[in-house]
Amino acid sequence: MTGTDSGLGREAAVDLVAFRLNVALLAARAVGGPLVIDMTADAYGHGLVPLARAAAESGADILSVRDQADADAIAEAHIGIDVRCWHTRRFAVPPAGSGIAAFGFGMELTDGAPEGVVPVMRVSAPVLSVKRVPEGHGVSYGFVYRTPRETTLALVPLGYADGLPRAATGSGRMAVGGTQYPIVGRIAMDQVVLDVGDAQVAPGDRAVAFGAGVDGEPTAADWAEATRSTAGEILARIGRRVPRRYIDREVNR
Amino acid sequence: MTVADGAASESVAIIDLSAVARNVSRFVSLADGAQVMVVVKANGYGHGAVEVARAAIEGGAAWLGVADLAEAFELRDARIDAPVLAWLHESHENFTAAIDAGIDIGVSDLAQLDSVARAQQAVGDGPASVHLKLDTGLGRNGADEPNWVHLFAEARRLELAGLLRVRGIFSHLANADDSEDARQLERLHRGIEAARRAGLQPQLRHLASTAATLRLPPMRLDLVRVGIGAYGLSPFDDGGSAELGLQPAMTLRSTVVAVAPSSDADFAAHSGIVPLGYGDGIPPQAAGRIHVTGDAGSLLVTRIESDHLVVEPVSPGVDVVRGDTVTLFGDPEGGFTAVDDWARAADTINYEIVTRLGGRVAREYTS
Repeated sequence: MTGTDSGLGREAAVDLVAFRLNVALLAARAVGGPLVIDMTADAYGHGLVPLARAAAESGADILSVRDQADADAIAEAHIGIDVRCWHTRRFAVPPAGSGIAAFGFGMELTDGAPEGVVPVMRVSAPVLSVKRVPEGHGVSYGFVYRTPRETTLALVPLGYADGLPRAATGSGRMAVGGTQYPIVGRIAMDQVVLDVGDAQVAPGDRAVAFGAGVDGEPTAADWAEATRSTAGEILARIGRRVPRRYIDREVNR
Repeated sequence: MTVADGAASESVAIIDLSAVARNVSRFVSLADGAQVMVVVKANGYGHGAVEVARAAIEGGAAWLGVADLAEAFELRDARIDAPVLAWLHESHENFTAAIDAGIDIGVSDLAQLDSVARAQQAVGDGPASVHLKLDTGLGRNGADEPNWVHLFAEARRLELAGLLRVRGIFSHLANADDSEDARQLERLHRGIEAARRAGLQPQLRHLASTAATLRLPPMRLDLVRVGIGAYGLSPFDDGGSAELGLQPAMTLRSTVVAVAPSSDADFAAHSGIVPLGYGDGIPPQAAGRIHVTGDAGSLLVTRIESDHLVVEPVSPGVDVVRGDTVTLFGDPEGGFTAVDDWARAADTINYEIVTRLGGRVAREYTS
């Protein structure tokens, strides 16, 4: 490899402790049948193998995946659990699964998540730069936004190539230091601009696109609502330019 | 463990690299003497950065452009030694590896200029090559006009100290309307004048992306940065690839891996299950609004789920069977659904459709 990473500090932190607790909670509630966890779409963007291992260790009975490649990846990691590929099974007998509750959300836009489960993924990046601009300053393509007054704009290196839906232009928000600010102007391929008003936001401060929602940040469900989508899609679309970082309080295996 | 049959790669994005090369050479002739930089950020807009970069060079591109340094390093690791410009950095980025790899650095402020100078001292070679980025109205990165004089003076001081060379000055258009674009060009010219007064001699003044390269000749200056057009897609709402003399490079193809009884049994006997879903970047908002091409004819996409979508025939007497090939999009001149159609159906732009195509879909290259 040439040089250092410099992927601009983008990150999807995946809280395996939260995921284990979610699965254990669902396992305790599962009555009269096996607990099936939907691990399609690379475990909804969380990463198939680490999540499959955590699920197997936390009381899941069956993992539902797309294809043999997914099943092989789980087998090769020596994770002992029943894996079903839907090519042969899914449409014959739809599994009585848990939706994406294990990842902290209900399946549909209008569904709440089962009580007690918490979101697992937190997507963030550092503020790259801030600039003070006068009233009437255009922002991003087409100038669909102009600053209504003198304000501070903060540039964050997450865009639709990273999975933020461009459709959230005009409605998406991110949190810096526990306060949410609107994304203004069109969401671009690699970056967005936040209007932080007169707040003291500095380069290097972390901007959180979504997380568990407990530190003032939006959740994937908020993004889904803003884009007529589902939390599952918001999670699954986080791209490969955003490195996953796994958080686990247990000893590394 | 239950073992399912079926190969892993029922889905493939076929990238026509000769189309990329032809699109690029079209921009080389359009640019009328200006150099062409092909932008391969975001994994070459989903097409594969390294492969597209090679095809672009073959088509006559003199430069490659990326957003961040990780993307620039990927090109160098593939032994692509063409000039590369990267323009999106953290405020106190360590540029040592970038200078070492001969990457041109887009600099937006004094802090970054200082980081470049310090990194160059660590590397100890010839001067680092920078392009100063000016914000002429977009409100993203780039230096604001009140800061230009300081930035130019400091850049000149570091040039005289032998630490860096200002090879370029550039900005990015908002494409709001022609008069706004013209104002941005005017501001850039003002910046270039100020830079010259400070003693800088930038050889490469650049502003135009695909849209301005096609429609606004005065914007072409010394170099044009071509992104979406190199992939054969139009940057405009009001016209497709062919009208611009471009050919879409990507065809997305998959297979019917299972069939289920149709939800509309009066009409179609079966629904086909295609293993591409929103987890692969297919926008669920397009469900019910987009047709794709099956072996026996046009199919309506009725549902898009996490890892699969469902198609149904739209003509009486047509059925889907397991093993059918389904082309989700391709060159509309070849009769396929266009990326532009998907963009309209999902209320977005063609850029997002191709860029979002996930890493789990195999890429296959033809030339």
